Amino acid sequence: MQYKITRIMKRLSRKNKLYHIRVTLKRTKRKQRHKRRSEKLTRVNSQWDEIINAPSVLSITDKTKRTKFLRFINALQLTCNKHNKKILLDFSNTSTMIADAALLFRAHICRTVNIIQPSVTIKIRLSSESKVNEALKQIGVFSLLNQNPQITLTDPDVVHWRYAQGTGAEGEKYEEILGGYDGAITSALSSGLYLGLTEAMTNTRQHAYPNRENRSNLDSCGNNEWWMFSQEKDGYLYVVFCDLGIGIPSSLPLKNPNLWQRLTEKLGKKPSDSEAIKEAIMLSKSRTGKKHRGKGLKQLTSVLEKVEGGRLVLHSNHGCYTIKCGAQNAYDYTNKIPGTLISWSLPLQAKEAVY
Amino acid sequence: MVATAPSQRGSLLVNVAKDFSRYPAGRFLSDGEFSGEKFRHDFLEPAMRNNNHLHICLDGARGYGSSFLEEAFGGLVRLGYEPNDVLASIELESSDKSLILEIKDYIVHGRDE
Repeated sequence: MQYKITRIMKRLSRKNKLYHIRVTLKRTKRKQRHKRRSEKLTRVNSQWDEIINAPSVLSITDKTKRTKFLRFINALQLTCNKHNKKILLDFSNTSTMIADAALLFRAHICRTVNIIQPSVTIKIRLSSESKVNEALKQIGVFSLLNQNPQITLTDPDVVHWRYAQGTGAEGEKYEEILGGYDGAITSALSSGLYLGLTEAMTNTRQHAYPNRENRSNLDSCGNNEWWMFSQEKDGYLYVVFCDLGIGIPSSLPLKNPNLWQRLTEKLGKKPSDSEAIKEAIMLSKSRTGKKHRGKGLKQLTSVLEKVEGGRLVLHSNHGCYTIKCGAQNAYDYTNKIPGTLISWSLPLQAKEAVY
Repeated sequence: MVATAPSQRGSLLVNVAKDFSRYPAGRFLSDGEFSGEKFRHDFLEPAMRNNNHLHICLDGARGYGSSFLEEAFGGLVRLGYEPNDVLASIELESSDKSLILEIKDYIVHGRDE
């Protein structure tokens, strides 16, 4: 029997023996390394009472990504009701931040920081993508959270991000995000953007945050705030504006009941959010029914008349309205963004439109 | 009225960008510091009250939203001034002729329901 086993087992050469010893040592070391890493992660994670994972892509246009992003935002909102908690927003798996969702996230962080209990701490775990960390820094998220990671802005996309926030119609804030484009864009385009942004600010002041005294702590803290952002990328200028108010579909029946009734009668049902937005934009009469009050939202599209190839996208609650080269499109998502988000994309080198 | 200078007897010159703001925006005082209501209150109403002729230079500002213009000029008519009197008292200057037409439209239709 002994003889047979010896025959079956291959006798290893010295070289092979050394090879197997090396492999075994490597495996042992790897196991130990993984164990140490896992223990470290457990130790680090145990410092936090709650970890909220940011999605891999921050976007509100793609349906699946929108769902994940809004789930993240909802989890962030829930921190407002907590006490004595250390909360970590984990961006380690985030690889992309689309401008509109990035602004919405910034707005929510700003609002959350303003109302959370002093005993609640929120910090960010950095992404493995340096561009994401740079973007978070550029839009002021780290400074809001009193976090000071050593991040240098190097990515050309991020370096050109500009950001501003305010309350009411503060036209001078235009300079903070778009003042640097004087000369690069035509005066007609500049004036059209100013007009669109200041009307959006005025609408925020007048419509977005009604009856604040009757609303919950979270809803009432808006204080007429808006946020806006500009980015230059691939020959296009992107300008995004948002508020965290009740949204156009909710403000329309309150502010313009006559129009709401006409629209309901015309459709034979309660208008969807996108139908309400489209109607509010196409509105020629005002909330009071007076002609002179009717041009607010329509003016958001006026900048598109100044340049060829421009595009407007307006998200409000479930609805989305887009217009490009005069072609309008309106559709609804299953999940709702809180408030209104307007984005313009305008080609920087395009010819001035002649109308 | 801030920094207005009479260009002739009974006539006032207002450069919106210099004398009011380069950033006019908003309808009501509650909307912002440089709203249409504020401009009307500071410049248009005193001129109308004192039967002054007002020359308004619109160039130099970043832009004018309809809320601002309507409240400033249409609001004047809603205060009781006749559109013809307002049109006769106010002279508008702008490199953008559509802006002048828009303001005149607000004055003419200021009381429209």
